[in-house]
Amino acid sequence: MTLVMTLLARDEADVIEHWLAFHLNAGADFVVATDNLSRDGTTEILEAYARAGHVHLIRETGEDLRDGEWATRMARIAASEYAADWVINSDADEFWWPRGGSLGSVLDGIPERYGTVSAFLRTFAPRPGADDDFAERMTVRFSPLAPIHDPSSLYRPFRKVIHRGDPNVTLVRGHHAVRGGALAPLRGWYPIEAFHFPIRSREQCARKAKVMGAAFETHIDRASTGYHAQMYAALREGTIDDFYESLVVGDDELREGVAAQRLVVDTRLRDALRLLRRDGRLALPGEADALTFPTPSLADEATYAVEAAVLGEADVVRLQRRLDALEHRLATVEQGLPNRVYRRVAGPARRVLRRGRR
Amino acid sequence: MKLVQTLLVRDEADVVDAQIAFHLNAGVDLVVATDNRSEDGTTEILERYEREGYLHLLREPGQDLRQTEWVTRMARLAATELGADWILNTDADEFWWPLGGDFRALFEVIPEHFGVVRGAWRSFVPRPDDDRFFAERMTVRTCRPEFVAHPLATHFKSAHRARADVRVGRGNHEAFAPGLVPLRGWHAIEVLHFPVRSYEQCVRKYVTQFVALELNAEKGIADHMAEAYRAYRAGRLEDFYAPLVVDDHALATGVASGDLAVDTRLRDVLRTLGFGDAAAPSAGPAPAPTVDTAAVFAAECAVLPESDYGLAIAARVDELEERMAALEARFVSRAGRALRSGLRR
Repeated sequence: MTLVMTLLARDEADVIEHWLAFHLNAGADFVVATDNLSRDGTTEILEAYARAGHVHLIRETGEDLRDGEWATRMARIAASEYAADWVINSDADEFWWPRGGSLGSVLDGIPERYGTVSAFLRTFAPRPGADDDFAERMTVRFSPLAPIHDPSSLYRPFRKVIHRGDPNVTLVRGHHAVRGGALAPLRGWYPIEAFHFPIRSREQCARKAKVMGAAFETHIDRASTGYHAQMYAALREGTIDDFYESLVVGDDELREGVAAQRLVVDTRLRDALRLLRRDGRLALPGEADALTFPTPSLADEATYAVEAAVLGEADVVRLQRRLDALEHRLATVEQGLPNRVYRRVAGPARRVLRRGRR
Repeated sequence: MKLVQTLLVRDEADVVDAQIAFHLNAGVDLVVATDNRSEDGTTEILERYEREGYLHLLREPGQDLRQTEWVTRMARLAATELGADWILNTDADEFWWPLGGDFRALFEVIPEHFGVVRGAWRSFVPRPDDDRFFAERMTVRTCRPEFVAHPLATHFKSAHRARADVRVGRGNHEAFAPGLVPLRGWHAIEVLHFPVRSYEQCVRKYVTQFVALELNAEKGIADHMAEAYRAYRAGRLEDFYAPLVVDDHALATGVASGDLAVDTRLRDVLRTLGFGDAAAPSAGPAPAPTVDTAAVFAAECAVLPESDYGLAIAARVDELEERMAALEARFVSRAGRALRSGLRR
């Protein structure tokens, strides 16, 4: 079984080595990466892993963050050039944690008739401090006991989709979903958790706000994800530091949140990365024992099931929103709005043009 | 924590002793059973457990199989007079196998907010009948069940917190009460299911139940049950039964394709309890589930309607959005053509 991960990165030097070392020691066989105009050292780290034979590196110089197109290209390369049986399409701030076995083995047992499986995105909160290692600092994650329906919340329950290698696959919706001929979804089972570290420091928050905001404003034809829009607005208004501080979970909030069971201290990634540390860097595959992933306890399974049920409820609300939008678009077409606009515009436009010709 | 099992039976002598012994051994404290007109020795088995203090026996002479009413009565009795904390509403052909192997440990980790925990049927196929004990013969499970009216289909079952006002739904699948919230989508109990065990039992099951259900005006009759009854009336019940039986050749093919799996867990537990070939060498405790076995079970449960239904609907919304975008694009290009031709005039 060959598991290939794809990675789209732009200026992610604070996480990129962690990302590569963790996944290559957790069961991923190979990485197809796209470096998009990084200037902070990300490129050099990717190049080092490429030289060591672990990464196929694509350089993408577009400013327009065509993430769906680029991720689709990588997923197709994973299937066609690297014979991937399964593909995980990732961002640099996502760490994919198998619930038992390894990344490869949890996927290997899925019956042939299913072509995709969902991973459950679990978002970690920024914590006080900035300069140290993010994984040492960010060990607090949100635990939804009820769905969050605020589209701008960082903590909305979300899934990511993992798929069998397919040279014709297409990734859609910010690569949260795939389209491909025979990729039937295995519903209701989330064998991998995607630990998500979207906001990690004041500086990284401002950088992300700028890059994502500009791309959404200028180039991307879908609506900006809620919190991206808020970040970008804060950046333009000069309040990005306040925005960041509002997300930081301090010690008092942590105590209250843990007592209320909405925050969980989760050191799993931190502890795994500690096992990979070697003389100021992280181990390449083969340099350390492969990471092992314990089967969750019954209590863990029950808590996870509760959160998965919340994900299902959140999905239904999102679907209602999409159906509302579809109804609106359909009504627009049914009312013949473009024709009416044309009739209203065409007459005056002709008169203006005739006058101009005279 | 007191765990009570309810059991409605009619002529299930080939499995009922093992069913009760299995669950008492798995952590059930007490069985509440309703014996409905049994004539095959079932009654005597139930009376034995009653004498030993493990079973509270109700006798129901009704001919009309008012299952929801009778099971609801048992579940309420368990809650009100028998001190139950959790209740399993079982059928005689079901052997409930909790994740982790221990009901008590499972129910202890269920958050207070939730009152219903789901299980899912894993149906065992009938094998050629050589008169051996059912669990000795039936060690093969289907791994591609569908959620349709079929003897070997899958379905969810529910364990629930004891409530005096509970109402048990049709087929004992669901339990309802105000505030009794199901933890949907998680199938924490494998319900090892032996619905069709022999030709004789097939006759008993489908014909007796069909006749009883016809007398019960409240309840519809499942398609496969009606099909079996029609076949019986036409003298062709064998034609209904035979295709369900998996012989050795079909077994080898099915295991190779992943459609069938050999599963001796129940046989092995029952041997330790003195059922079947008790003299056979002990197989030891059942192996802990692995990621592979979890994947196969998840794949079976995925066909259940409440499994991640948002994802199923999302695929249809995706398709509608694509069609909508195509429609809009045609509209815009038509408007553009009209505008250009208008301007040329």
